[in-house]
Amino acid sequence: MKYDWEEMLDRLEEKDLIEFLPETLPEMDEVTRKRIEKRTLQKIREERNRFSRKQIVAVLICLVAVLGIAGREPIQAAFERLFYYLPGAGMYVDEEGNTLYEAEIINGEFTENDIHVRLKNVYAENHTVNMEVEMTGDLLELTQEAYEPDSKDKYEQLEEMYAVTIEYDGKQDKLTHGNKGALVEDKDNTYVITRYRRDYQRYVKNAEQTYVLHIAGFENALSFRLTANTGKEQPENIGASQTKNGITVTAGAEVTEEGIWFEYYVLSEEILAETDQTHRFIAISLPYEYFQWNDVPEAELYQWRYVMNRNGEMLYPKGLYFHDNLENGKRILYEGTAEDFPLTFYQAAFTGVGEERGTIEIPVPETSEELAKTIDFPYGTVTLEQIQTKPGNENGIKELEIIYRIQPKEGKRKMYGVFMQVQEAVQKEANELTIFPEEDGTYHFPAKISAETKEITLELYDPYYWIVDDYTLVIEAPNETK
Amino acid sequence: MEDKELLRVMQQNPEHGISLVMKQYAALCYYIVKQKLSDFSQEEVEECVSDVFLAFYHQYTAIDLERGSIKGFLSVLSRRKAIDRWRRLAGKETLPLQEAITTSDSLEQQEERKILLDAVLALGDPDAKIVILKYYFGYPTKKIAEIFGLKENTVDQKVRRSLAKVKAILEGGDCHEV
Repeated sequence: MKYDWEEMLDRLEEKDLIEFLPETLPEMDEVTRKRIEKRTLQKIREERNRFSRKQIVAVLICLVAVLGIAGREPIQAAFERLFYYLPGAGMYVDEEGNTLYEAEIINGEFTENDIHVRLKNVYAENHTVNMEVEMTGDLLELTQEAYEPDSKDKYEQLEEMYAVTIEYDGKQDKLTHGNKGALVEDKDNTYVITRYRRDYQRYVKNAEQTYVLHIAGFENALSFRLTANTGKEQPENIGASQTKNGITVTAGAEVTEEGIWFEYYVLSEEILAETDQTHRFIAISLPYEYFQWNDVPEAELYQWRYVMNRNGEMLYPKGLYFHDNLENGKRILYEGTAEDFPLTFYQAAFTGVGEERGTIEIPVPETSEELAKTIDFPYGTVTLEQIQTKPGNENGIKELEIIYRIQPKEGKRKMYGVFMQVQEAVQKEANELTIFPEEDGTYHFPAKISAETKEITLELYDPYYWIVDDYTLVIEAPNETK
Repeated sequence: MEDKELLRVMQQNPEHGISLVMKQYAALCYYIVKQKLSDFSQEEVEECVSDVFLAFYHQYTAIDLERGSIKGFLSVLSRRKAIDRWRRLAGKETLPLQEAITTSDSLEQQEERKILLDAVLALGDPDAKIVILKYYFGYPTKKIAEIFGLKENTVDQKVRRSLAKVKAILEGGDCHEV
């Protein structure tokens, strides 16, 4: 039998390569590497933003102000927010006087047939009950077809095997999940789903009652009771708390058999990229003054938020999946015990997102033209320095690049980025925040337009700024286990 | 940075994490891809490498450090992504990436891989490593020479002879030193 050497190399798997993996890694030129990195990050953000950007554009399209900035006060503090603490939901900000319900968990978890089932994030707002069911264990062995990421089979199979029904008000109904997720592990060349989580929302006329969740194939059931939460909480009551520049960071922790469940919340009247659902996946939160990731010492980079124990040792999350996203914060399981207290929680500077936007019209030059136009934002000034173009290609598409600088203003808030879009661009969805300045401090924003376009309208929106103070909270002792 | 740390940063802040992973492994992936796409433009190579890291970003939770490594995972991902792009550029039938990566080998394919590995391992050390560095990882001769403390023309000679031996075995013939 004859074999094709190249094709056979193509088929090698990771396990085949183990003894050939090079200890010495090659080098490549930094310019190429940075170009690839930038492109990759663009793709990641494009994917994440595909949906949310449409929402933003739909809302903001009404606010376009031509040749000017539709400004607002830097910080709006005109209304009082109500901060509720709901077990399962975390620190909840209610701006519209809704009725909130907290859950008293009657049976929040069980293990049966070597499968662990856990009820999480249970609360209700008005008539909508929110809950999450997480299952871990060897849940389903997959066929190859079902393993494919976009295969519907695995979720259909999981739903069939582990259908959830809810019992309340004397009736029982099948639940249909919202978001879902499954973790597949390769166990000796057999793909097994070892984690399956599902979010549920259920509309109920009267939220204040007892609920039981039955999962197909299990005798045990999950149960909880909802009661109206009428008490307004002060963030300070949750644990250690610190307020700077109108932003409150609060954190608490409890010790369980699993380890230290640590939770933190960030409450602000500004839009923070960190906590705002719309912006969470758009903005880049970087330590202040570090504009290029490559310039950030590694130790600093991943210490922008951390928890240390009494001996000054960093605590590590216990596995990849012990995270709960809460309203305005997060709950994370760390390895540790009560002996680790007091804990120190450090949070570096936040990124704030302004709602200002402006447009400016620029004639398209043959090759290049100085601009010297400035656009003022509350926390910085954008100076458009130059526009450059390349001749149109055979498809009639012309590339242009706008070179600009951002000069942050004095104060605790310093602008470092802004989204841009050329309204005439042929690929608007690809336009992005240009977060990486060149070595000379300029930013380069590229766009593609029709070769026929004589003038462009450049739109600047969602300015980003650092809120420069950091936060250090000491959590003296664990809270009572909830 | 160690793999465990990199995965931890990926988990805490995926965009920071991917940046760190790229800083550490972009060159490795670049040479693997470039080796496969040597007939195509630099732009295609770079686009393909960025696709590798985009795929890593989606799939990094599948890495089991007990049995593998980021380096190994990225190496295979790079080769498979490059094959996928090569097929597309060369006008060949394109297999979806996931299929290419995850489809279990048939017994025949497993046997072929074993035959290949046996043939390569039969070259002995360091020739086996040199030939894989050259033809799988796309390392330049100069770099291989540095790693093994050899002259560049010695590396080239070893590569030529090793390749001839491996091909002879794979083609079913006996192999004689020349």
